[in-house]
Amino acid sequence: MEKNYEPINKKFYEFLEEGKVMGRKCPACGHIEFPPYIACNDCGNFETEWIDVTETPAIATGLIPPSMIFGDPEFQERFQGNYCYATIQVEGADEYNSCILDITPAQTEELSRKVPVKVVPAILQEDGFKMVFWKLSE
Amino acid sequence: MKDAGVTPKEVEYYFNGAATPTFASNYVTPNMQVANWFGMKGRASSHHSEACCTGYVALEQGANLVASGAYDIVLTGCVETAVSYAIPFKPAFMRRESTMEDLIPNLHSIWSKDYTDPSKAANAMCADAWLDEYAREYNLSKETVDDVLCAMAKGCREAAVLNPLGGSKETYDEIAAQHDMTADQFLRSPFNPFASKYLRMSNFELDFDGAACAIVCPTEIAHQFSDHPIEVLGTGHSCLEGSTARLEKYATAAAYKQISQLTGLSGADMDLFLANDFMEPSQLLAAEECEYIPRGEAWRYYLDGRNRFDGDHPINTNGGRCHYGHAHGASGLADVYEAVKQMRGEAGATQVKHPINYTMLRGFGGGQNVTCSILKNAGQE
Repeated sequence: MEKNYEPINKKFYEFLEEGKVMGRKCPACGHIEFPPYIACNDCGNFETEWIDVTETPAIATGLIPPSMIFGDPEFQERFQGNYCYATIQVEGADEYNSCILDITPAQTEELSRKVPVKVVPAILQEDGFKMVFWKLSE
Repeated sequence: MKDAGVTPKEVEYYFNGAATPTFASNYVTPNMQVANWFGMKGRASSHHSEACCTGYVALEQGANLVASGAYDIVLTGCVETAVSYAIPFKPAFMRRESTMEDLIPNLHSIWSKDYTDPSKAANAMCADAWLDEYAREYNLSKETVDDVLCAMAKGCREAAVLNPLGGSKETYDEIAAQHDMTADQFLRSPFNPFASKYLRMSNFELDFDGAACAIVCPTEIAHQFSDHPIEVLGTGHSCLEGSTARLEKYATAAAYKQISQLTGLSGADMDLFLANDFMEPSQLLAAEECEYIPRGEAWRYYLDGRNRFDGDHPINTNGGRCHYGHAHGASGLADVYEAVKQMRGEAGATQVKHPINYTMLRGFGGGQNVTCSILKNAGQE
């Protein structure tokens, strides 16, 4: 087996600098790892390959407003409370936890009863790196 | 050791568990620093740390080591200084009170730095998410969920107050009376505000310093030390990283499946259920995932008082993490202690009302280890 020394975590963040949201696709079973990991968590194959998921359909469920206990104070202030926690699923990948930005608590409450909702990536500048979050699809 | 009738010279190996050794105890390898205190100088030992699941993993580690045949007498213990922190370069007795400023940055150390922490994805810990789905699936209003969680808090609080080791000293009835209220009024009042969509302050952990340990030995020699040994039938174990959606539900189901296949027993065979519930409704999720209570019915059981220590399906008879207290890494072994006391009929005022042949313990930690162990009463054969 050929060894792969590619720094996948670093490359993921470098792709975000280029405006690309990248995952890893398993050549054996087709499962997508997003966020990207080296091996396939679905079939256990060791090798995966880069795949651009920037425009891959994605849905959100489990919309929950931030609260006194469950919330990031810096994020709360930055978005004036207008974000929510959500479970995101990029088509072909497992669900994972993330945030939807620019959504009011009232919208969160209303949409939490209408899940799944369509979302698109939103790349945000953080302190020294970019990170992918999500926004409601138009 | 005294409870088990074992002396230091008989212990061949010990595990030392702690959830937060580096910042709470200021030790990297705390198994070494405690050895001389209980006669373990030169004995083999190791440290382990699985956040709030540490005490449950401690039981698994001890049982597996004995089952391997490598050692016959293993002490497995955990200690946690959750509210008093060690002061670097000062003697051990000198402590300082921990603060939220200590806790918050350290909480981030349990979440992966690759994507989870940078993407604020650790709402894995957020019970609101699965409660929202549970309420929708069983058509429960927010008010009904509140009623369930208040009943849960009230019942567990009473058990904790009756337990001589419990951290809570007053029932909600007693506290409410000081404000000319009933407990039900108090629990829904501004004295007990919502801290999230569903959880009130009464549904969150109550932190303490604490320690607990157990002696594990082969079943065939256990009767040399006790006329009422408790047998560890095994442990199922699943781990999911913090960004995994619905991780507590999935990992509990996976751990339960393992222990059920290993033992041939189901949750319905259990007489007592203990679940790590640093967010209190966690006990409801665990009880249904482990089939201790039929799926979709636990909310009703709580409203009917059936999960109280004196109910027909007792859960967390010591009061659980929110009322008995939470000494992070040590809490799992505190639950083992409670299970053993209950199974021996030595639980005093909170003794359950029926014989206990089997107990299930569901461990869960912020580091996302989830375990499911079954204990068998070996004193009734």
